[in-house]
Amino acid sequence: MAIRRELLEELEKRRSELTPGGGEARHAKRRGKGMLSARERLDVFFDADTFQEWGMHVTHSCHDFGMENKPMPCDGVVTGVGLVSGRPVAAFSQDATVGGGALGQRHAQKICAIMEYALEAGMPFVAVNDSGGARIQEAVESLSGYGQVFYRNVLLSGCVPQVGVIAGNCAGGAAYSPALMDFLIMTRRNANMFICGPQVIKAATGVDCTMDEIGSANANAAISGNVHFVAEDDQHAMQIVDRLLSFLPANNVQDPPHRPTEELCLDADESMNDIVPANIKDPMDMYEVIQRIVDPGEFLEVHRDFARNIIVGFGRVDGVVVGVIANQPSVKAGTLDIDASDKGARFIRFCNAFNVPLLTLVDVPGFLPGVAQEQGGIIRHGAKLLFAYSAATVPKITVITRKAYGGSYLAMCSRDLKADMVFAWPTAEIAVMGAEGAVNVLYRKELATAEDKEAARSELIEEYRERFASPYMAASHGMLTDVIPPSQTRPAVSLALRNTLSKNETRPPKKHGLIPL
Amino acid sequence: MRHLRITIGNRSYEVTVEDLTEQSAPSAPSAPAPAIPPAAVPTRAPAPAAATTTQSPQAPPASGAVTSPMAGSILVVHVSAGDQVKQGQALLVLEAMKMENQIAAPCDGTVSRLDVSPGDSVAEGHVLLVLE
Repeated sequence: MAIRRELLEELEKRRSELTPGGGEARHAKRRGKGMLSARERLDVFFDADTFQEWGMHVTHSCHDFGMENKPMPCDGVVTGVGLVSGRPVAAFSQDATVGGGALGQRHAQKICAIMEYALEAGMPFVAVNDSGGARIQEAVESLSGYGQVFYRNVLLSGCVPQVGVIAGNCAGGAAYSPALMDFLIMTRRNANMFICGPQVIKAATGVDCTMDEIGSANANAAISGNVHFVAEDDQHAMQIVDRLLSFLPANNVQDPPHRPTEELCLDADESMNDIVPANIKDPMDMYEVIQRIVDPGEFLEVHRDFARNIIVGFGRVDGVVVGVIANQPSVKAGTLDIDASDKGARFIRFCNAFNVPLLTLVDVPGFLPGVAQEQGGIIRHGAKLLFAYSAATVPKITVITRKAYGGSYLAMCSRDLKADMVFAWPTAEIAVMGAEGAVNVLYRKELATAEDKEAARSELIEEYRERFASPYMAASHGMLTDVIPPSQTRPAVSLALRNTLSKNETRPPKKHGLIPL
Repeated sequence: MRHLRITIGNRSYEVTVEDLTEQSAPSAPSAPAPAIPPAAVPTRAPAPAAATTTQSPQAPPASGAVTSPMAGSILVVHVSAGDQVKQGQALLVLEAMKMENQIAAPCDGTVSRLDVSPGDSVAEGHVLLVLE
């Protein structure tokens, strides 16, 4: 007794007809541009032979415009579950060789099925986008398909990590599914993402623009901030997803994949003392500080090209996963502006949702002054940072390295926003405002009557700076856990992380807070 | 002086626009000029199109312009016009937000124009110098 051979042969035949998608000619054209196929993208991503495909035999149900005679292998999208570095991940990959990868009703149904499964099973969801948009022949059914995907993006949000890859076209409404996800990776050359293209913009507004200006990886990563990572090619994009997932838990009830070392490395790092400039006005490169705190090679920067005056990314300290948020004084003096506030707040909220402790490195002179900032709403944008930090219940550890002035000091996870531990270097200047400004206000009368105004002014500034622009005023009020030399930063952070991992803070229940969007 | 009709929704408004700047930007009317007698706008250039070339100095050149990342004052200028510079080389120091911010060359090039000197106050986006 054995299964009839022709049944196996038919299955094999059906599979061999479906897996090539839109055929060799179309694949060859894309290969010429350095692109991988939808299946190859999943192949390089998942551990070998672990991908279980869902719904390979699904067909579309459209009978208009001659579609009834047009086969659409897999309905233009490959969906399934596999292992990535041994951990289960649900994914879809759109096949642009099949009807341009356009989304129809069944295509959307396949995506929704895999999303619902990711939510129920508590595993990350990865979306590889390469699609011409809605399948016009299916009319409002494809439009509805988008709506169903958007809705599920929101259901998954905060429960399982959602990572999108933009590896081809992603235009119009299609861009809103990635926009609802947590992290986006875009390939540098063959991908575009925009709502209205140059022709539509020209027709509606008369303004000439290029695709490069509005829809390229660079525009999305550096100017609009829609995209978090730029990949050199498809393979690199999938590697970035893999690396990113290595810092994230599978879902919001799990801890991130800490790999705590048995022994803590608590030796002083004297080189940390050397990177602090002697002149308090010389900017410090915060990357150097981060590199010395995290384990070697264990820092993945997120949103690198956007709002470079703040640095965010995932790292490990003696194996414990942390989300790092750091001012970058060598860009725009490390000020907080609209984009930096948005970037920081979004990252903090992700970390909080997925139980990633926060390490905040402070060197901030203030919010960026300017008409554009005020009119652009720096008040409500800056408030997001305050909101995100205050709402975060994960371990919060803050190191004040140098400047920490006024509202921007509060916004960078001060003790008042319930940081668990706050360390400050002896170079810290924690004050309500800069010495120059404070002296002008505090000693207006004295300065007006002084004989040598400039001499009196510099004397008062120096006096103010010594007394107030130091860590000791804040420390004397109990606002700091301790003042530490820079060389002790890594040991202090490492110990603090170990000591706060068991933190369990609960808040009064509510539907959700009202972050000022 | 130009007379315009603006329609918002179903209502139209007639407005008169008077250009008070000395040298008005050429309006480049595509079709016949409105049947209004030309006002006493001094027209120095014979061909209006030619006037477009006299840009205001604030308009940033297309490429090679190094602009101020934020408002502040120039503390030090390390280079002079004609200097060859390498990418990453310090060009000048901008004092802003309690910091002495190094402005570095975004690329290799020659300083073809230097628009600032120490003590100057600059706004965000101000062209500091141009590299070619």
